[in-house]
Amino acid sequence: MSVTAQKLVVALLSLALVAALVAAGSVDARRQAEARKHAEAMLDDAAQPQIARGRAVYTKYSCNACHAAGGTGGIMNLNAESGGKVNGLLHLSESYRPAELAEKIRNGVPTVGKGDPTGPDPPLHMPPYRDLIAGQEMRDLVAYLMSLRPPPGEAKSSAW
Amino acid sequence: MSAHPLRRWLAERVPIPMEELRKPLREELPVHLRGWAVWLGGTPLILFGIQVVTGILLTFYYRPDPVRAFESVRRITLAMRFGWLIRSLHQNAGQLMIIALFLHMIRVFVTRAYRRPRELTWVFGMALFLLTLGFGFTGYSLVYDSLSYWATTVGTNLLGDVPVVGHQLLWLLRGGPDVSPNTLARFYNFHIGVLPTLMVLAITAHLVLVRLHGVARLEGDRRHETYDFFPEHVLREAAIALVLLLGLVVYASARPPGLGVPADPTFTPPHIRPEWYFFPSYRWLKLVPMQVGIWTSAGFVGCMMFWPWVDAGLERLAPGRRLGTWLGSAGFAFTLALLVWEALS
Ligand code: HEC
Ligand code: HEM
Repeated sequence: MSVTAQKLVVALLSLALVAALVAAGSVDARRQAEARKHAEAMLDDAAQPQIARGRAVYTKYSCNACHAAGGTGGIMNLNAESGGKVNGLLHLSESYRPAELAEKIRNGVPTVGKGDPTGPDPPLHMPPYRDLIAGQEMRDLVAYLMSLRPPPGEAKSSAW
Repeated sequence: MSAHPLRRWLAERVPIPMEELRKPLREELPVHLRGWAVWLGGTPLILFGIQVVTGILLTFYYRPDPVRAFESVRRITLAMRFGWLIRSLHQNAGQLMIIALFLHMIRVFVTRAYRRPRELTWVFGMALFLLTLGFGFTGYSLVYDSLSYWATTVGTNLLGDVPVVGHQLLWLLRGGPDVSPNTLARFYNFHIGVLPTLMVLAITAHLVLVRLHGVARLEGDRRHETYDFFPEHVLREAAIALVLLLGLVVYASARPPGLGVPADPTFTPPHIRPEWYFFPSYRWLKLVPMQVGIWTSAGFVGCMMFWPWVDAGLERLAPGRRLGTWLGSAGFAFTLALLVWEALS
């Protein structure tokens, strides 16, 4: 290979390296965003230990099995009046006071309304937690649920 | 010569005979180096360069203290800008360096370029190889995750079994009877202080010797053409450096480095293993009684270290039979077999 050809190869390889570094830059940006989110969550938890404890109670009693992590809802519940899915828990602070919410959790929702009256009963209902959750755990759980909010973009659209 | 005013100014204050200095760049290399062999000696040097740069960057955030070491590695990997990239480059260039050294040794071995008068080039080369393994061992222990902690414990334990001085060696390395905060401080010091210093000295000696002797011509190669170190050889090395960097960056982006479990001195994980390049000795030491293992390993490394003379002795014993090449190849095959065996088990 002539020296000129070699110089060309070196130049092309340098360009490729620059391109790879730019790509690495976007990988880095994504990782930075994740790290920031993680750090914020840790900060929140540090500032509001009760909510962090409540989140732990929420997973301890498997509420996430039906209401999904973070209370976003959406688990299939055939023919439920709430759109064939278990409802989310992101708007509780708008319709409940803490004592009412605790009562709701203690009682559960034994019958879930049907979407189509002639259709089958929805398979999932909300079990009563009367014998399981009480005292500090209940207070933490309620504090956590009351703190849930829909993500900023969605709040506007669902308000209408 | 119409020198640039700035250059004239500098030449007057710093009277270095630039023409003299440029001479080494005018080295003429035998044409066979244009081929595959060029990959081999320059590659570890390039990789060592990468290690120095990325290593310095890592020291900005790494904390050599058992309580904070793992946390600082986590921070580098997850939180610092491009920390994952730097860490990945440092890890993988280190691995590649060992492979590159292996290939370089094989090429020198096969072409018998270590023979008189180049024996000392080989000896310094072996020193470089052992130093590189030292980098690998001390570097791995710095991560302070469960696996690296226990690999360090088990690895240093072996030294305790060395006859006569074993106890002192162990104490020297660990800074006490057990793997302790002192151990991490010492390993860190070795990794970023002692070993790099020795490495730079040995690389200098190695390359000065190579340069003084000129690269050996291949046996039976009748070609007398040469080519220039500059720019042709340098361009080739630059191309290799770029390919290596490119590969390392792409790999890092595709598979960013992960994190293990923090070290817990009270819990021994079920599968303790050193890094792959220690597999041969690890397997061998498990296979034979400890004292036998230690003596044979020392003999093996000694044989490699002084190979030019061992080979010359064998040549005198049976001229023209290339006993040395056979013996060396057998030793290499055996090492490789032990490595594969350990890797598969
Ligand atoms: C087996 C599934 C299941 C589990 C487990 C479950 N829920 Fe429910 N939950 C439901 C269903 C079904 C409803 C009624 C939804 C509907 O009407 O569509 C409901 C309703 C609710 C409501 C009333 C929502 C509203 O908007 O009025 C709250 C509050 C609630 N759940 C909290 C919890 C908490 C807290 C836990 C954990 C301790 C939990 N759920 C565990 C299925 C479940
Ligand atoms: C950091 C480690 C090392 C570096 C940077 C290095 C670098 C080099 C370079 C640039 C050359 C010139 C010829 C070539 O590229 O093949 C060379 C030659 C040589 N190396 Fe190494 N080397 C290293 C380790 C070793 C090891 C481990 C050995 C053997 C134990 C070794 C033995 C030799 C010998 C004998 C020569 C002379 C070959 C000849 O003249 O043809 N080197 N080395």
